[in-house]
Amino acid sequence: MVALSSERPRSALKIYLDILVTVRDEGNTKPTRILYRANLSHDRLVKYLGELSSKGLIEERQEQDSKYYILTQKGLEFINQVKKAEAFVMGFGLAI
Amino acid sequence: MLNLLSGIVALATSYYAYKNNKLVGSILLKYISAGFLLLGVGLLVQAGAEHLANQTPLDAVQAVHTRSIEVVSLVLYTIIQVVAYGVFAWGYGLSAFARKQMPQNAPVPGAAATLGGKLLAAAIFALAVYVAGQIAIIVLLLLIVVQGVRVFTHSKSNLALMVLFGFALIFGGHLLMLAGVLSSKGVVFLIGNSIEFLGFLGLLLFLVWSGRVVK
Repeated sequence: MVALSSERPRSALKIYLDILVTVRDEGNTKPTRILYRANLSHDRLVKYLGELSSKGLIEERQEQDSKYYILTQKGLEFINQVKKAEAFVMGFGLAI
Repeated sequence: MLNLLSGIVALATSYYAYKNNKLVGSILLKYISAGFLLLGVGLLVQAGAEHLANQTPLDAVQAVHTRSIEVVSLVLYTIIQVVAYGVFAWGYGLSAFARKQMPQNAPVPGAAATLGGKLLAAAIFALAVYVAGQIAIIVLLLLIVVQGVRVFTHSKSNLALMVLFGFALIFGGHLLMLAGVLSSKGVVFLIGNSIEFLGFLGLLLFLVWSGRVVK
């Protein structure tokens, strides 16, 4: 039987989406802000930020002593694709 | 025409399931994509056969001048449908669906008793396959609808409701089509076919709605 959405742990794709949406909504986003909004541990945050940066979905910037992240155009397109996929699979009782 | 349009909707759904599965990586989406692909191919094959033979599969089981193309296309189409809905049911946890068309032509007197006997046997065979196939399809569709109710009850999602509604109409359509065949009432069959097409339209609406960017 297919596990319904609320019974599953968060997938990597869902975590990606949560991080990217946070960066999109916040603008120049500090890691701490992503940590709280995406509800991640520090280790996992570092891991996923690294993956998203390497895929070109977010960019890391340095300003004085602060590090922050911005969403790239590719990241914005990725959010749209995932949102559409999420809507599609929801019709069949799945979650991303 | 209904078969052709329904086939296009089925193939479009298969494509979107395949495309979204590249992101999501769900085995259920693979089954959904495969099932709709089979269904779409079957519908297009049937639409093509009807166009070439200028008759519907139901004519094949009712007219004395049945030709092999109608019988073959009817059998092939029914088998494809059963497999397609079986794929859905397997992947979905349980479920399925199918289709057809109909006008009734006046039978033409057979040229010889032997030829008439063979044609009659072919028509009876085609009818038996069709009825058996439709029963299997209806059972599978019932399972899909039950699962759809479960999904909607859990998620309360409008998108899940659209999918449920689509499959429910297809299920109802098949019930009426089978009733039409068994009672030889063309109107009943036609209504069932139309309701089934509305089910595919419901799925098309779901495709369009889910394709809109959601904030």
